[in-house]
Amino acid sequence: MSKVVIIGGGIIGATTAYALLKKGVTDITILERDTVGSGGTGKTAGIIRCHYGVTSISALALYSLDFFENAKELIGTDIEFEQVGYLVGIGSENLEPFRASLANQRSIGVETDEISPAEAGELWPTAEVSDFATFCLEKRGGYGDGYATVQGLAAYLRTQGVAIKQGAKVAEILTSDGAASGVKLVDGTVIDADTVVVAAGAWSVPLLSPLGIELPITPQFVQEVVINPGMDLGAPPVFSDLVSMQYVHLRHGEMLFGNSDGRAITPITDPDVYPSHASNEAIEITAEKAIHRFPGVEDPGVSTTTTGVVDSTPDNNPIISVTDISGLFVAAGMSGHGFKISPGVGRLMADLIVEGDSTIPNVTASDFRLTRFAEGELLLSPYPYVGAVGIR
Amino acid sequence: MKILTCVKYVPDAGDEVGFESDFTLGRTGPSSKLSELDEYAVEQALRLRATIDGATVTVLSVGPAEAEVALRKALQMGADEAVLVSDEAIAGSDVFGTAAVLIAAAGYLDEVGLVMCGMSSTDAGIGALPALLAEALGWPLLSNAAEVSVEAGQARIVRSDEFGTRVVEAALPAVVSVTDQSGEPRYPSFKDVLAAKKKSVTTIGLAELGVEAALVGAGAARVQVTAVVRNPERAAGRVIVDVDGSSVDDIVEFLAAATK
Repeated sequence: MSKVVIIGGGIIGATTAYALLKKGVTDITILERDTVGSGGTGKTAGIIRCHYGVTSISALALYSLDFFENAKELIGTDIEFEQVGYLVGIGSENLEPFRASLANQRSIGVETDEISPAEAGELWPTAEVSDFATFCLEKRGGYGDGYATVQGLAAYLRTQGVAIKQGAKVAEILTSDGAASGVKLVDGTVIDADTVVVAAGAWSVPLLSPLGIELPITPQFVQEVVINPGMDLGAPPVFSDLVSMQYVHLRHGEMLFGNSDGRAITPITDPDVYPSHASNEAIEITAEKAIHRFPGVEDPGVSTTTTGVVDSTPDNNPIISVTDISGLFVAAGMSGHGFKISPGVGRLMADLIVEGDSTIPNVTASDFRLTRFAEGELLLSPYPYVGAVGIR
Repeated sequence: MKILTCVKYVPDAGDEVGFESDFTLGRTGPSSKLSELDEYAVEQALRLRATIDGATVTVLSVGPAEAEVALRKALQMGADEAVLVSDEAIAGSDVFGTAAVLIAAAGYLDEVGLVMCGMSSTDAGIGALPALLAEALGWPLLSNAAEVSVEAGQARIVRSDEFGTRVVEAALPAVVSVTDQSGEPRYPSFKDVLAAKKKSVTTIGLAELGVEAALVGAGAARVQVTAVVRNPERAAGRVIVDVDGSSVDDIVEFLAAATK
């Protein structure tokens, strides 16, 4: 174990390098085709929570919370984590899986409390809460800033001797005798390595397919609408609304709305080609949902819209895995929850490289293996919610 | 009175620009949208509507079926109705062809008392359309307005340019073009977004307008695009390293050479 090359200067590449450093690996190069955080990381809504049905994901998120809460001490930078709490509201049809999931989350140490709609209404006084059966509140949740976090990490990594090369697009992963031996950049430069980690989101697919490794990752176009509420809403918790299927949080006084009913998520073929703004239809859907859910916001209007790409797998869970090629690893297909679990993903990747197995409590490394798709053993929540896109 | 606001569906500056085989601009990129400069015209039309008894705002566009996206955006901003003139024969029209279609549409629609335009499109950027419309309609043109008002059948604009600030007035009906200094276009309120959902875009063809196909389209265009050439890649810049203040001479020498 001497020389590691990480392809992808997003949050997953950066946290992988961070975790490797903590294990004493020092010869690390991150190759970023554009600039640090310019892919999915710079576009994340930044929600931080542990509310997952899959134990290993919930445990990765819980591990990650320690990093988000202590980033200032750990890397010397404020990553703009707003720990306002994370609120989930559900309808009566989801009462059973919701309570089972909460019990499972608590069993691994997640601090989450069931609260009544009336109590939730006090946290979000502008919201209509009568159509929810119950809520839970994760006090340690909230939202962060993906771009600030990856920039802070990159600055720290550089002080520790990690080489971060921007504008360094990889043309080819090189192998020798069935083992990874380095990478070749589009400008012809060859960088030797005995360990190559592919952490390039949806762009990972064409890097690995020439080696016969097919990642089942589909780029999905995601649209979010930012609403000017025209009033001061304070600092309420991030609101995951599993009745109207949307998520909402405040950022600089504006409300960021994401649709989670699937209508705002569209598969695309090229992760670099998608609209720069949300469609008129996406704005209409948001308007309908927002007017229903937030009657206390008197005259909401569209402030701006944002779009991005999520790298989704068939089970909407990440691939954090070895491959058939010795020394070649992959951490991609985050399916929309990469940021909130990223310190855990980086640590698990480093665990696989150095120890060969997970050292994070309650995280089963094999849950995230690439071969699970071919084996037909998808990683699914034992407590699925009716009507929700499968990311909980 | 109808305030007829002409808008264009244009590619987004962030998209990779593409051209058709006849060198016309690919109009339907993934982010194609209502031209930002036309949003100013819609905004001013909506503001004027509030000051004129009985006024309504009709947005009008000439383009492919996808141009409905631009009109829908204008409806979300608060326009009352939207008309799209779409016809295969129009494809490849230059600004004269586009003007001919818009003029026919202005005549086809009743009670048009004011035509509003942006200062130019964000793709072709010609900026001649308002004048062509005024000429053909025989109406006064108040162009490049930074402020617009209408009172007692009289339109009044304030125009600022390199010659100073002028106030220009004309009796309605008139054509007014507005600049990006005229006031930030509004963000749609959700009430307007939901109201827009109930409105439809009326699509008409050349036959309804009585425009002969031979007068429009690539064949009638007075501008022929014969080739499209990519700008050369930017060469690497020259970096002058200065440790003792000597860079002043280097910079002066560089500027002197560059301005020769």
